[in-house]
Amino acid sequence: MIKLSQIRKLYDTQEALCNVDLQIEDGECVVLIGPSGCGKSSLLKSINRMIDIDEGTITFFNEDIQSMPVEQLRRKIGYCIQGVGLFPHMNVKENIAILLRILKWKEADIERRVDELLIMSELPLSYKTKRPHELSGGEAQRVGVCRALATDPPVLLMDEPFGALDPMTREKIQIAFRDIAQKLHKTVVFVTHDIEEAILLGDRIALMNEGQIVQLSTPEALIQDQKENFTKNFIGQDYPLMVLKRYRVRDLKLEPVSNLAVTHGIDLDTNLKEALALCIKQTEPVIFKDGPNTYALLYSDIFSFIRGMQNETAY
Amino acid sequence: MKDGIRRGLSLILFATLFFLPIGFFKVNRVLNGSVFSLWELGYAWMLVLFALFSTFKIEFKWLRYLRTGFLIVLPSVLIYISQRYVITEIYDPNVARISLGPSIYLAIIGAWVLLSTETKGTLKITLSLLALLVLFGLGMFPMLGLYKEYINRQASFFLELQRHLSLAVSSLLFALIPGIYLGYQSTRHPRLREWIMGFVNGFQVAPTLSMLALLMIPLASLGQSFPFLRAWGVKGVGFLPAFIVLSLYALLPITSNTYTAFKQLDPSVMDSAKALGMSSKQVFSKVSFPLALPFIITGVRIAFIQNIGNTILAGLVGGGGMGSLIFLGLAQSATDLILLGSLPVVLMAMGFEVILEFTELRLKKKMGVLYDQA
Amino acid sequence: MKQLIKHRASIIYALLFLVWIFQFDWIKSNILFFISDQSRLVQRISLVELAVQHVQIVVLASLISIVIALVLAFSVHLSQSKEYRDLILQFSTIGETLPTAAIIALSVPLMGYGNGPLLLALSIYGILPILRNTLEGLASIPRSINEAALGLGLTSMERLIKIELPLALPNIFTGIRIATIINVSAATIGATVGAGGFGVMIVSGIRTYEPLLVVQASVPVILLALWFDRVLRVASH
Repeated sequence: MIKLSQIRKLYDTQEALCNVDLQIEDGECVVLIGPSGCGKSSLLKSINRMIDIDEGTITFFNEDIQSMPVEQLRRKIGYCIQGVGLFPHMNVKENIAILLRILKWKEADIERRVDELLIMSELPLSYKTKRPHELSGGEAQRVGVCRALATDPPVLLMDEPFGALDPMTREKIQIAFRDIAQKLHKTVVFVTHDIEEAILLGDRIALMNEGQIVQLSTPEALIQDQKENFTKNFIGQDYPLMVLKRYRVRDLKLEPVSNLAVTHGIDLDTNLKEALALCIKQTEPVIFKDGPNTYALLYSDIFSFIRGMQNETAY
Repeated sequence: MKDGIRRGLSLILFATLFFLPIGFFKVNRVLNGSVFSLWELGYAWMLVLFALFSTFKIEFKWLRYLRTGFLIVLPSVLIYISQRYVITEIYDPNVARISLGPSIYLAIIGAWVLLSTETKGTLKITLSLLALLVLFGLGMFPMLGLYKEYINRQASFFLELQRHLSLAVSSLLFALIPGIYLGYQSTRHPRLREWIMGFVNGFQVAPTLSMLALLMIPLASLGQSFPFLRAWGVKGVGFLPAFIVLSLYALLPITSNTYTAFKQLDPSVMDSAKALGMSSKQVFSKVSFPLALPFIITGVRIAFIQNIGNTILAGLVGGGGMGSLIFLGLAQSATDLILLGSLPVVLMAMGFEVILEFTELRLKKKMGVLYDQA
Repeated sequence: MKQLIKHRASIIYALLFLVWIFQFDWIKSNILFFISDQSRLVQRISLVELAVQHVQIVVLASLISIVIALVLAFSVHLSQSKEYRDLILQFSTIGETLPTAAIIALSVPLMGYGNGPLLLALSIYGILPILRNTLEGLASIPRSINEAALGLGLTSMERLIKIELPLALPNIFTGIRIATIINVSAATIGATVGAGGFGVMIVSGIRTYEPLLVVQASVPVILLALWFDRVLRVASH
């Protein structure tokens, strides 16, 4: 659990962060989002002391981060940035394993851990000997994530890591990242300026502006509960549709039906936005097959689901 | 038409063999010489014809190998046959001598330019040079004035050569650590950088000769006042003034390039290293320094080549080195002695330049700094 | 008045230089009195004459380098041929690697003693800095400007002279400045082969163990270098 209290940061006389309070629970993913200069990166970097704050306290699992040696703190936190920052003079394996070597792990253990991480990120094991300049943007970022996870830190700090990738690669890596983080029960603090990324990845979204947190809600709650004009303007009018992308048909928990002919080729893993688009395109109901079962999908199924989510998580 | 320009250039350079003097003939060391040309060397002109043909594109693999071999030995062959001008029946072979004329030098350059168009050109050029040196050392060019000077003072030649190298190398090594340290500190303290750069630059502006001269007096008086220092070699002349001056001159390239080396480090790489929890010592030794190393070597290379040239001046203050031979030759108006002193310096400068540049390139590849990051 | 203040550094250097070479006797007695004056030789050539020789040599060598370097740079640029460019750069780099003192010595058999070898060596050495900086300057001009010029209908030559040259001028001047400053100091070596300039007095001082002579000739060299540095920096704006 990470607790930030009354954080204040000044650059010369400019207030980058002003009385920020935030508590991040174990295993959740909090997304910091806002316009340029709102302080989201600064807030993120204050957690692993890449930036020093002027006022306020930050506790990391109930210990003040100032009370321990900074290296010790950072080894418990994984950090990924947009530029990735892979070491050009080392190959993929050495990049991932660098901290493990410093911690004097046995060679065999290192080898095993690196393999584990590569498999988890869906990278071929043969990449171990590749050099950073041989990798594509998406591959490099995956290696960056592996490196951050090498010592199995409980917390991951991500500073717009997928910003430089093309949309297709970005979508794939976002989903892959979300799955890994959830499977490993990592606590994630994620900075982005892309609202769709925030919806996809965040359990809670912290909307920031001019050094303060304007609103802190679940993605669903934000559909109705928009505290300020700023929020309305920032997330935009088609926000509700964006939230649909967060879920899949599977989440609707439809009952299988029988004796109906299949009308379209979607499956349980299609996201709800696509499914809704399909409902608009075709006459209802949408009949599809996944595995041995056939299902029928209606507009209303999607709407009642989203209503349910909003009610469940309203703040 | 790749390499077309180089082929054309070689063609012209070979062609000069036809009309520029191939050498100068002197009956003895003292008297002035007469010029002789290609046509007085019997059938040598056929060789030149081959050379001219070799500048054209060749399709057959084996013919190409033949050509490469031809070009590699051409310089040695040219020098060898030019010796035949000395008709030993008439002139005393121990005293008469030839000096190489402009066309031979141009033709040698032509052969090397042509070799540079081939794959592994630098290697082949080095082979050609080595062949020359080896044959020279074996005494295959006894008629060459250069060789006669060499033979007559062989011991002193190697002594001065050794002195030259030791002066150049030791002064470089002495400046290495301070230079890297100052360069590194300049990146961390911008205000300090002004001072450091000013100090180090100041030496470049002052003429080397002046620095040498001005050091002579204090060192001489120190040596006279403190006899034990004198025993250590603290004298006005000799090794020490040159050593000090060369070290100071070596500081600028090393410091300046070290500064650039650390400045060009990618901030995201440095951030990642810090964020991983590496201590500053670890970041330096495992990341910053390895990545900066190739560029530091650039500075070392420049400093070393500079030193090799500047060491010539040590000859003026009794520091030894090839300079002694050069200045002796200048005083006696003995061209071959001047050559004997200068050519090794030129060869050393070019040789080390090639070696060190190669090292730099290898290091850059190894550190992955040659490529744009994904 | 404002102009004077802005250029105060170069004016100071110039004044110091002139005072030094014209009034050295005064300086010798009043400022440098602590350096023992045992000059057994009467200097045959005055400091002023040496100054004139030195400046002449430096200016001439620099001019030769400038002309050759610019001609080469323009021909490389106009030809747009990478092959030609690489060849020229390779040769120029060789020119810089060769030790100046060695070139001077090697040219004596060709040109005899005197100013010739010095001029040759300095000119060769000065080509690379100017060439490299000019090419860099030309290369750093944004593509959009070149395209606009082409669109207007200018020929390569016109484009070079009217547009690219003025834009690359700061770089060219930087190269000239570097070459000239090196020349000022390196020219002193020429004295060993009979060239003129301040080097004559410095070498004299070395041969006769006379520190006064060395100082007498070295200070104006440094001042001259500093002055050229200032003036050429200002000129590049």
